[in-house]
Order: sequence, then C-alpha cells, then structure tokens
Amino acid sequence: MTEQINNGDNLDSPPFFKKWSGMYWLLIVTLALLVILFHLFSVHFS
Amino acid sequence: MSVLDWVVLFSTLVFIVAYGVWKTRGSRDIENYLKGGNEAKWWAIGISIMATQASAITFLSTPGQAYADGMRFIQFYFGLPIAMIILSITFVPLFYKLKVFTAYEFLETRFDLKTRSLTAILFLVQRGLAAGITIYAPSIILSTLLGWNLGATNLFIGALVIVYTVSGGTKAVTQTQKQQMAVMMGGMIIAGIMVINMLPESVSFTDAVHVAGKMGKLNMVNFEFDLDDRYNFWSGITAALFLFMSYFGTDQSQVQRYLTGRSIKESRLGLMMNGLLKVPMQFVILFIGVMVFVFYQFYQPPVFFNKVAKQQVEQSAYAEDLKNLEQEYTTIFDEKKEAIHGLITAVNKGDDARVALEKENVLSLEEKSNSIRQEVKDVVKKASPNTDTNDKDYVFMTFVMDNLPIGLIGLLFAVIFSAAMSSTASELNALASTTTIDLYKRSIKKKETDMHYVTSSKWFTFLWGLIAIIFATYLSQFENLIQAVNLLGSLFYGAILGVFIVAFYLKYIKSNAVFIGAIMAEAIVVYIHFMNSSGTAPDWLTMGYLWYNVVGCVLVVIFGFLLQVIIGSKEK
Repeated sequence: MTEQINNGDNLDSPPFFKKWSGMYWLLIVTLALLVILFHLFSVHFS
Repeated sequence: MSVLDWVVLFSTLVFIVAYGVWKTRGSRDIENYLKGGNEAKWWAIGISIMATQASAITFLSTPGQAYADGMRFIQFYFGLPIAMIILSITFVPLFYKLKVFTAYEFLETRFDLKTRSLTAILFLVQRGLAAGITIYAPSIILSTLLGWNLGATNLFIGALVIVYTVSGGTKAVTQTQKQQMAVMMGGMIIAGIMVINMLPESVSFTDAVHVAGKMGKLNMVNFEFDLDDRYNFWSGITAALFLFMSYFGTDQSQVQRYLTGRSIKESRLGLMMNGLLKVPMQFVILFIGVMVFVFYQFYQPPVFFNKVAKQQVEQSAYAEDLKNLEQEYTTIFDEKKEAIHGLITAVNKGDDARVALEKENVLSLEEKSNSIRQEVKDVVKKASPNTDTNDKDYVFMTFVMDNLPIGLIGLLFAVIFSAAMSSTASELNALASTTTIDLYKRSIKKKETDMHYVTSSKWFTFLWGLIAIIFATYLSQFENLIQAVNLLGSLFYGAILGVFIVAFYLKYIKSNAVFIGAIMAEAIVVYIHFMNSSGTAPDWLTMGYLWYNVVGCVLVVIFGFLLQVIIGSKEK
C-alpha cells in the first residue's frame, strides 16, 4: 500500500499556481466566460 | 448492424473488461481493494469522476433532449464548478485527515453510530435501486435498437461489470474508466464531425448554426428567475449547486473516486478537472444533438423514432391513421425544407426583414410538424397503451444506425455500453464499500483479517450486481417505480447534505438534534413534493424538483439549530 502523501495538514500547492485560490479563480473565471460566450452565441444566432 | 459493427462493439467491450481484470489482479488487502492502494493520479481521478457521472442515458437522452428542447439543459451544470471548489476546500481535506473509506464513516466521528448508519442505509437503498435503473434505462433502448431480449441485455451489461468490479475492486473501476472515457469521447466527437459533414453541400456549418438558432435550439442561457422552471441560470447556480454538492460530497459512488488519490493535491486536481471540463463536455453532447436536429431538417426523419413501437402500430387497426399522418408529415417536411433554404438565403444576404418573415414561416411549419408528431404519439398510445411515447431517447441512435458508415455504428454502440458499464461499476463498488465498512465491519464482524474483508467486499459487489440485474429485469413491470426511484435521489440528497453541512460547519449542533432535524426536514420535503405533484401547493411552494435539495438542506440546518437550543437548555 502506498502511504497517502499528506493527511490534510500539509497541503501542496497546485501546478502553475502559488496557491489553491489561483486554481479556484481559474474555474470561476472560466465558468463566467463560458456563460457570457453561450449567451452571446445564443443571441447572435437567434 | 453489419459483421464489422459487431466485431467493433464486442472487441471494444471484451478488451476493456479483460484489460481491467488483468491489470488489477491479486488485491489482498482492503485498502488496496476499496481505495485502489491510494495510487491514483489527478487525471485518472478526474476521468473516473466524469465517467461515473456520465451514464448511458447521458449519451442517449442528452442529444435527444437537445433535438426536442434545445440546449437549455446546459444551465443545469453551471453550479458544478462551484460545487467542486467548495468540496475541494472543505470535504476533501477532512476525509483525508480522518483516513475514511466512506463518507458516512466521518459522521460517526462527528456525531454517533446511528447518524452514520442512517445515512449509509439511505445511500444503500437509493443507490441500490438506482443501479438497477442505470442498467435498465439503456437496456430498454439498446434491446429495441439491436433486437435483443430485454432480460438478456440487462444480464449482458450487468455480467460484464460484475466480472471486473468483483475481480479488481476500485482499481479495476478506475482503470477501465480510462478506456471507457476514451471510447465515449472519441465516439461522440467522430459522430459530431460526421453529422456536420453529412449536411447538404449547399448548407455550411455557419448556416446550420443559424438554422438551429432561428429555430430556438440554441437557448443556452435564460436569466429570468422562475422557481417552477427546471433549467435557468439561477436554478443552475443555486439549486443544482446543492444537488452537485450532495452528489459529489456525500454519495459514496463519487466520494470513493477521489479517495483513491495519492494525496489531497491529486484528489483536488481531479475535482478541478471535472469542474473545468464538465460544462464544455455537456456543450459538445448537446451541440451534437442540435446538429442532428439540423440534419433532420434536410433529410426526413421518422415520424416516430421508436421503430419497434411504430411497427406495432403498422400491424394494428390504426395502421391507416398512421399512414395518413405520415403523408401529412412528409408534405409539411418538404414545405419546411424549402422555407429553411429561403431562411439561409435571407441570412446570407443580410436581409433582416426577410429573415424575420422566413423565420416566422419556418417556426409555424415546425409547430405543425410537432403537432402531427403528437398525433402519431396518440395513435401509438391507442394501439399499444403500455408503450412509452417519449421517443427522444431513440433520436441519436436512430440517426447513427440509419446514417453512419459501417464500423462507426458499432463504435457508437460501444460508447453507450461503455457509459452504462462505467457508471454501474462505480455504483456496485460504492455499494460494496458501504456495506462492508459501514455495516458489516462496523456492526457485524468487527475484528477479522484484511483478507476476510476483501472476500466479503467481493461477495457484496457480486450480490449488489445481482440485485441490480434482477431489479432491472423486473423494472419494466413497475414503470411508476422508476419515477419513484428517480425522485428518491432528489428527495433525500438535500437532507443528507444538510447533515454533512452541520457536521462540517456547525459544531454547536450535536447528534440527537441533527438526527431528529434530518427526519423532520425529510418529512417536510416529502410533503412539499406531495403538494407539488397533486397540484395543491400554494404559489410560494410551487417548485421544480431541483429545489428540494436546497429546501431539505436548509431545513436540516434550521431544525438542527433550534432543536439543539431546546435540548441544550433542558440538559442544563
């Protein structure tokens, strides 16, 4: 069995970001951009 | 289907099962069998999470839903990335810290054994029945399309899943889901490219998108707030957010996927991957459905997509009625096709006035066409009262079987079987884990060897698989039961999430208060549903089922708090 590398006390940072908050912002901004794009796409072609 | 299609279908499925069994043979300890030895990398976790959620119905129903109702279903997934962030911050570190095997194990640490057992049993009942539906729902469609016996189709899907899930446990589920996901996404992308390529030469891709948009199929975002409307932006980022938090945070079939990670970092990244890719993936599937709709504006679709049901009408006393309706349908189809060509010409010329005129004409013809389809459905119902007249689940595979080249048809069937297998495997794996860890090991046989628990888990996986197959086989006789089971998830998820929210954030509330609060909240949710389904709900309580998740969760928190105040003051 491979030991779990950490148990919740010692969090590694995610790739490409210094903190996890950077990763979370990436998700939120992507979602916002997708909603805007979907809306513009719908309006343009309707 | 041709011989080549059968070869593609069977070789794909047999390869996945054999590879899964071979690659994961010889699990001897329970940690390895139920948590995959905690070796999974983030991308394997992400794929496993997505493959678990993507059932066969995702690939059968979603394109059909887009065909009938446009792309508004995508709004349902807007809450998912936010749920992934919340779970990543809160649930995942705690599960890791306590080194739990199941989500419910945590509840004993925080509350007591009865709360743990209650949530575990609720999960087993709900997910055990749902596993039967995960097999039955695609089986009924696949058996119709392939001309197979329904029981044999159930057995085929169930047996394949049991073989590798019993043999390799969680590791086999994760391992096979990589191949299954590759088949699913590869097959769907090829189908998408094919449908666009098969449009008439005079119709470009942009023209096709214009046709879809003008005919109301690109209705992706609706900012109007309406509690009664199941899919709009607000229900997506609020009600669906609660549903996704429940599903990914408290449903063992998902929790088990990210508990296989090497570390919190890997598990979190797996959830992030799901958060980033899920909405685009649903967009692609829905868009393929819309393109199938556009394709059928130029090549006449069947008036009813369930061919077996249609053949039954043709052999009944209603054959003449059906023939007349089909002729009418063809006449309107030809008129509509002309009008759509006119619409495309107007769009390309930039003539807005004519676009508006042609659009109105096309929409009115579409309405006529839909009303004929409705009349056909009425005839089908008269000829065969037990037949389901909702044919949208047959749209995509009918398109595949009638139009795609040999070989690809087999691949697309492999997509549907893979999806059915990937979600069923996760369910059986989670049911076995919960039965072993939360009931058998905790309350029945407490001090046995690791090997004993591995063997028990294998038997429980087998038994749950058997129950799922038997339930799937007899489901056709209990159509109302399917609706009840589908509803069961929405009715219980809110209260279960409420218990977890209290466990995580409201340390003041203790076990008895949350236990009674959860039962009271559940009773109210069931009563609200009863009022909604019987049409007696007052305006402020009229809501789509997604909102039950919010109501259940919030009520557990409120009741738990109030009860704790009362219990606390009495104790003093």
